[in-house]
Amino acid sequence: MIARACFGKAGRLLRKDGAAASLFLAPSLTGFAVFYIIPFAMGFVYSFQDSTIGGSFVGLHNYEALQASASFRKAAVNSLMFTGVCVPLLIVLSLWLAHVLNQKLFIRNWLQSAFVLPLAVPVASVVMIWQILFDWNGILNEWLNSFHVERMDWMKSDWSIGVLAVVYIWKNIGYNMVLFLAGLQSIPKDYYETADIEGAGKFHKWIHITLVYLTPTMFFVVLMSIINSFKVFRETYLIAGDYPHDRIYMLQHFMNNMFLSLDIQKLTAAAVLMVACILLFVSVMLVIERRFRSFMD
Amino acid sequence: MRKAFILLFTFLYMITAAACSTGAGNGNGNAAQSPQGDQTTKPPGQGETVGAPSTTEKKTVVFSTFFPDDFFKEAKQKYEALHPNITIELQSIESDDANLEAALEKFVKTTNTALLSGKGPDLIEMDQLPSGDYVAKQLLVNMSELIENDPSFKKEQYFTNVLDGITENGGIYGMPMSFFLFGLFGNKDLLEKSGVNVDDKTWTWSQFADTARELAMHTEEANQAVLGGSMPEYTLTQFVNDQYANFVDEKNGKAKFETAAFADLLAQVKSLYDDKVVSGDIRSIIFRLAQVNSPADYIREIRQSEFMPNNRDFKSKLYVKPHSDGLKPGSFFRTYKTIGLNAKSTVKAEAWDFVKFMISEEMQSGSKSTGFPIHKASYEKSAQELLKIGKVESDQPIGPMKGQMFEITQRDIDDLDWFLNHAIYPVQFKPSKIDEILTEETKAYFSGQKSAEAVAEIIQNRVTTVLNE
Amino acid sequence: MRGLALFRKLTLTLVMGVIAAAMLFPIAVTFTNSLMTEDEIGYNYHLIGKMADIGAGEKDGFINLKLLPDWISFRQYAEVLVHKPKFLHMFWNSVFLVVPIIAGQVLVASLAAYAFAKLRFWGREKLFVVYLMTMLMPFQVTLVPNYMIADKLGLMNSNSAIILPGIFSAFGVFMLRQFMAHIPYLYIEAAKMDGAGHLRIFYRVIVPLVKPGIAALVVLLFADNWNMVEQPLIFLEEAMKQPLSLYLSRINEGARGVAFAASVVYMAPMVMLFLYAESYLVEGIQLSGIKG
Repeated sequence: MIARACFGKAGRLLRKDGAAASLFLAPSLTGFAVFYIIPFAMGFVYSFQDSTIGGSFVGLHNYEALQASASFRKAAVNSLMFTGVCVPLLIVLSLWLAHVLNQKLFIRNWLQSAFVLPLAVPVASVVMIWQILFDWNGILNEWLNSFHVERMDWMKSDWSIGVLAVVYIWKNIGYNMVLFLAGLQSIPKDYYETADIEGAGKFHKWIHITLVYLTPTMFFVVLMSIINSFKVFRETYLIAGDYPHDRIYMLQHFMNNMFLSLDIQKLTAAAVLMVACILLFVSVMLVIERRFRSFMD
Repeated sequence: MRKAFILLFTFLYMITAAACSTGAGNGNGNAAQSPQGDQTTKPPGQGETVGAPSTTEKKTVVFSTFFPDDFFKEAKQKYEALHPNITIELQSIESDDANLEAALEKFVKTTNTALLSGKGPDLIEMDQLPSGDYVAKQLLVNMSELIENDPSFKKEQYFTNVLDGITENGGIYGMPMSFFLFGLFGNKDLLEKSGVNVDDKTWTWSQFADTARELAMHTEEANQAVLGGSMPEYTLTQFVNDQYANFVDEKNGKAKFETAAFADLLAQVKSLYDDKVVSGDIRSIIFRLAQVNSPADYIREIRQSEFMPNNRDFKSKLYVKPHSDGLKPGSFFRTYKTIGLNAKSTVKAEAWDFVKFMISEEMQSGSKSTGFPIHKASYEKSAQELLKIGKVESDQPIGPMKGQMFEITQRDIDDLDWFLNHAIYPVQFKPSKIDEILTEETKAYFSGQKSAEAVAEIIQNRVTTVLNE
Repeated sequence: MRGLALFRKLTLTLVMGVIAAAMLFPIAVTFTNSLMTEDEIGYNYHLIGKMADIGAGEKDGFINLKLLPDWISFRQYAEVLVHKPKFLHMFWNSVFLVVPIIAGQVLVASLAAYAFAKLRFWGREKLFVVYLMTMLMPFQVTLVPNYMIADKLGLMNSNSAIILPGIFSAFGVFMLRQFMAHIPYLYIEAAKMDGAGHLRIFYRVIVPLVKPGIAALVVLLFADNWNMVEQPLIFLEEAMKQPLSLYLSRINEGARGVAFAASVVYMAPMVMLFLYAESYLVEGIQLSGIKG
């Protein structure tokens, strides 16, 4: 009786599948809340406090301190440029790759493995190869030397960001390829067959079937590519240290240094800003995706 | 359906309950699994006095060091024998040489995280950690206040000049167990013969450079350098620190390395090395930078030169290292095994008592630990004992010095005493970030691989990033 | 016509083959170097990170990159697999961390993803955005809170401190939701009409249709978690519990010789996993074949 009174109104609010949804969500939500929502919320709260334990509310003070930091601005600009250029590039390349490798080529599974393998390479090996190629005494300089061009300290020049981009693409093209392949497979072949019957050309099929039905996958790939562009940090850190050349000093370096000097205030403020920016971008994508789903449903 | 609702709400309730209790910070540490002390909500700054250690309750003091150390093990045993209700738990990172860097990273990160979470060991060996940052975030107890308010702490028994030297922001945040001296061992005979004025108590690095050039004209052997054992990039870093304000404007976050002044400095240092006034070698030199670890060490270093074969023997003297302009005379020291007390510790009284025990005469005089003990009376005792024996044996395993006995005179001890009592300038255990950048980048210039402009540009670039964070 | 298709297939394969070879270059180097003796490696790479002192008359040199070892030796593998048991121990540590994470997350996330993708409930979009947001936070920020929580739950220095957060990460939920979005709602309606409850729909209809998605999830989860470094660094105190990724997260000058063989062993599971999962990844769906 009482239960019905309590849950009746809630039932109306929850709409049709509410009950089933709570059942399906329960396991994920409990663990997720404890290990992700709470730390996230705490991090968010820290950005408005002056200490992690027993701190007091200081409003936007930390954000102001952040604004005043020229290094933060430098890091933000660098990160923006790097992500803004490399992510679209990577997506185009990996989409093309998935498209090609989706067809029945010879030794297809070996070819696919070749692109996925970079994901398995440990950080130390990546760094070592990096050194072999780009060190002052490295292969690239040796090659330049044979053309009588002066050596370059690659990691301490403006080219360093190019090196980073190469490593990022090399590592993540396989990641995205796996996702696109799975996404391409999820498009029921019936649609293509129907299109064939209606006499649609290859290009038309691609734009109106493939790209459209890849929208959910694309959304995911874009977001993961952005997140992965931050992960290049570990390798960069091992090669260039805490304070690398201007071009490759990115938000992760800034945040890592803040952590090492225990400046949690600027760290969390920077993180919140970063999340807010990406979130804005994500919401736009969500709107596009919603249109797709209403179309599907 | 209803069951599902109940389930969901129960879960959500549990989550909220967990969240609330995390925020208030009043949980019981799981004694079995996490040996860190209980969490406390005592606000910082309240620990000016800690009272006497408990003699009845069972307490555990967690002491974290990077390397395992015999001195601490011995202290633990002795202290626990005296205080049966108190247990000292020693924690250190296990690693082998190959993984030292990784272990260090782990130590720094774990300690940082633990301290920021309000947990962490009660006593920490600070040598490898960014103590400056800990102090800024009020994570360590201000020991000066403890010292002032503790009647059993007799300041005059210790090298107060050293303690004053490490005072930052009006407080001592780490108690060193011992310290080393830095100086220049120089060829006394040659210097006297040359007649060049060596004013070691007041010289700066640029004055040293001038004096060195003068001395270079009086060298006895071919290719003899005035200062040896210092690589150009380190010498340059010293020179820059000498005139720090000319190159770094910390308040405004400006670095001034793309200037003629810096280029001149680079050229000056380079010419010193090209003209063999300074060299990285230590074979044929007049001065060399050295670290002195103990009275016996001092005697060995000083006397060694008097027994060089082939008529190359000479008398040595310890001279003061050059320092920045405008500072009063004093020698340089570096503390060793500095111990900090966690501001959030729940066993502060016991921990402080243990620290006092470790710097007491009992531990410091029997100490097999390296360095000059911070407990002055212990040092004086060991110096007197050494004098009584009258000589020290060389520690060279082979060569002309093997088994050689070096004499000790009161004069030697007096000279050493001057250094000890005037040790007021601390040298950091780890080089500062700017120093690291300088040494790393200028190497390329001094080895002739990069031009001065290229090097200055990179340094300017990186230092600006550091200053503006 | 047939000949043209064959020619096209051949050229494409060739082109991809060349690109693939370029991608594999670093791995090939690692592999061939793992067969070299330590001396050879020292000789080849001793110039890394050093600048010759021209002023002192040292000669300038370059690193010697050898793709084929002068002398094939399995010494490195012997070192890694036989002589130093700690290496294999760390390998199994990694396995015991990663496998539970993958198994757990596939289960938990697929359930949640179904709710997000196909069920309608209040706050669905908002909750999903919350899931997304947490993936964006860098670990330095969540480290201190995670530490506090792990301590409170008594998980310090245990594998659970790493496995549990791994299982409940938003990654799997996000990914599978995207794949489930493809499934036309009609099929769910049809199954409902046949009287199937949600759970039945889930494992009879949905799961088979997202097999490529699940395969992708397993592969990528493995890639992400096999390489994890920060979490074990902070939450595992004992050296004996460390996974392999920690050991290979730094290049140690002294251990360069063994590093190559260690890397090869490190990479092997990933390769095998992918080759196995690949068939699922390229399996297409023929919807017309599915009845109710």
